[in-house]
Amino acid sequence: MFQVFFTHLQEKVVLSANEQALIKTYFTPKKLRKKQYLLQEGDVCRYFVFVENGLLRSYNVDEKGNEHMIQFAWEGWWMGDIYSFLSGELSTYNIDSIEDAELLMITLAGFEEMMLKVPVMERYFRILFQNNIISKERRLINSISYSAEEKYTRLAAANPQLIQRIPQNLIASYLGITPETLSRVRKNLSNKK
Amino acid sequence: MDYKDTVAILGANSRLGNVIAKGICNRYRLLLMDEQIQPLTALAHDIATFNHNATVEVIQCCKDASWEADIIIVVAKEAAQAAIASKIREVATCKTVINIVCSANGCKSLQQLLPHSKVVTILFHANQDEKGWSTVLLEGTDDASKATAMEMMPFIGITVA
Repeated sequence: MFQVFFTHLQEKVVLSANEQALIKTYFTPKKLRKKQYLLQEGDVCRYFVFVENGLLRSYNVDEKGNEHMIQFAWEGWWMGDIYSFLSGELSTYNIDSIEDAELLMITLAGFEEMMLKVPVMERYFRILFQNNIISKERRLINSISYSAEEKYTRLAAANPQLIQRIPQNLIASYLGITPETLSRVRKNLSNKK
Repeated sequence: MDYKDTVAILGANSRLGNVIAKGICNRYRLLLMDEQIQPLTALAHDIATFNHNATVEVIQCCKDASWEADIIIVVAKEAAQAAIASKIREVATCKTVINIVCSANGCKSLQQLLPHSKVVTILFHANQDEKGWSTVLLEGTDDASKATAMEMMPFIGITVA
């Protein structure tokens, strides 16, 4: 149940057996079925979530009812509306499951207590948030600087497995292009091979 | 939006399990769990027929039900609690576990068996005419979990002492 989690943690920090046992006590294990919501717009994000197995997406919905993908999270990734989680403000995001998922969820109170009891987790989350900032900057650059074909090629190169698991219309939304454009891009790339 | 928490009822075939399931079915997504599948399926069908907003499913494994649930309700005799606790312990961490008992003997044992869960024990008294349940005693160390249990009681038609 915590295999992916501790493998992921140990890539960044060293944890003793006692620390691992203590960390486990702060996480709520949760199974989520495909298409089931973890968070809905207008609710407070009560949990920061680690994906042990499965695939989640976060998105918002505009006034016309169009969904705009914000993030995907699969094995070894974290998911949540961090602003709502930390501030207690209502979320503007929806988070649901693209595949059946096994999650490890932590509340803000648990998160803060865990940092005090296992200080090395502060280092872990500092590294995690640093990487998150870099990733968001890269996504912004991708979004404003590259063509649709370059955006897709870069995403496919960075996450080849993801391209297979996520429906094309969601990938198009994530890249900020229409499904028709994505289809044309994929066809062009296929012809070049 | 109105997010519905998922509640697993372990021992849903019992008389009290039936009462609780029918009482809270409109407010929570229900996972009904027990050993005998036939009465469990009948209960799920009964709930779905009379409550069109209810989302109810039948699960025969108490670990799977508890893993998927946000809140776990245990309606079992004290003798069965140790076995249930050993099966659900690793998936019940940090979750509210509402332990329904009919005698004061079982009041504190489940919290000891599930040290990382937030156990709330509710002691029900059967009315002498056996037609209902009267005042209940509520115990637990986590205030939020006690509040969650308190919120459920009116839906079952019970006031908490």
